[in-house]
Amino acid sequence: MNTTEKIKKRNLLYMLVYNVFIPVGMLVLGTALGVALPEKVGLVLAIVSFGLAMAWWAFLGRKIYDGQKSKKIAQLEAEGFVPNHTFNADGCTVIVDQVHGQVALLFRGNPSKVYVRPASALTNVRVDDGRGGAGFLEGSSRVSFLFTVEGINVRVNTFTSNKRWRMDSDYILTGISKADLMVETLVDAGAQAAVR
Amino acid sequence: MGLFRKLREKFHDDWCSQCTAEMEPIRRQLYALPAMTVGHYAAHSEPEYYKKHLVPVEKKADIPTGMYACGITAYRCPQCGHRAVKLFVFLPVRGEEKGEQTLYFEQGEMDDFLWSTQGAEKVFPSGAPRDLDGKSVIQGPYYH
Repeated sequence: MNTTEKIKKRNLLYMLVYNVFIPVGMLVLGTALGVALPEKVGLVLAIVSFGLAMAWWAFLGRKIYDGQKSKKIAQLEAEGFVPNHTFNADGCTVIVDQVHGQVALLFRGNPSKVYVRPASALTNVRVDDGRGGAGFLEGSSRVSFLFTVEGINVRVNTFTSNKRWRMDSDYILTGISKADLMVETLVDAGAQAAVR
Repeated sequence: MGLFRKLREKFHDDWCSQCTAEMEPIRRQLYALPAMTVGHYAAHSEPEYYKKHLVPVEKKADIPTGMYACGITAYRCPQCGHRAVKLFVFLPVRGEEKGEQTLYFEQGEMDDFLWSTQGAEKVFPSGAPRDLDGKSVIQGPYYH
């Protein structure tokens, strides 16, 4: 459990290796082997490496991240952290331990670290329903909950879309409900931490 | 039949299925559904499920954030005496309702529950709802 190290949402080296070097390396290696090896074998290897690189960008990288995340959560549990509420978002996973009043944060841009803080360290916990537009154009394309921890602003999306939805649409209402629930949970855990 | 049922749900949920007369509501009650929370909804159509899990509440504000609710209306047809129970499952969100499922029970399946004190003594813990095993994982966001 990392309870003291400064929170970093992104590890630039990791992001470069994970998102650029590995898939590009696959492409380069495949192409090099394709040129170096006999015609048919080389062609097959080039196609396979191209497919692997695309799969990495599309879902393999995400799968590996999910696997790492599960291991980290299991490790946390083994150390006594009780994951009462877990919210898996695209860029961040927030895990709330209501028993001990703690919050664990795992960022997709820096998955090798899990930051555990007392929930009372989270300030400015709120919901942003993303409401915008006027009249019949009023709607939202993103609902999220936000908080500040050690001066770092964290936004966790509960709903995102590439188009604007009416505020009473099922998607928006579900996103708001999830965000409201998480904010309430975080505030409760903060009160619990303050008592301890 | 499915289309007729959907149209009836949408425009005439109080029509008698026997003689199409407008039925009279004879009882309305709001319930919380603590077994179901946002992100974990699963449709159920068995009356036994609802009898087991519904907890009566006075008003929507009594239902914790993220917990599903259920509105039950019992109807009686003034012309033919036919009785029906409409069960509407929804997620209350800041005064709005995100509807999930509407069920009609016309064979008296819910009568023993609705007209007895069963469930009246049930209470759910205050504050944010928790799953039965004490762990809740919510997935988000959705992309649309």
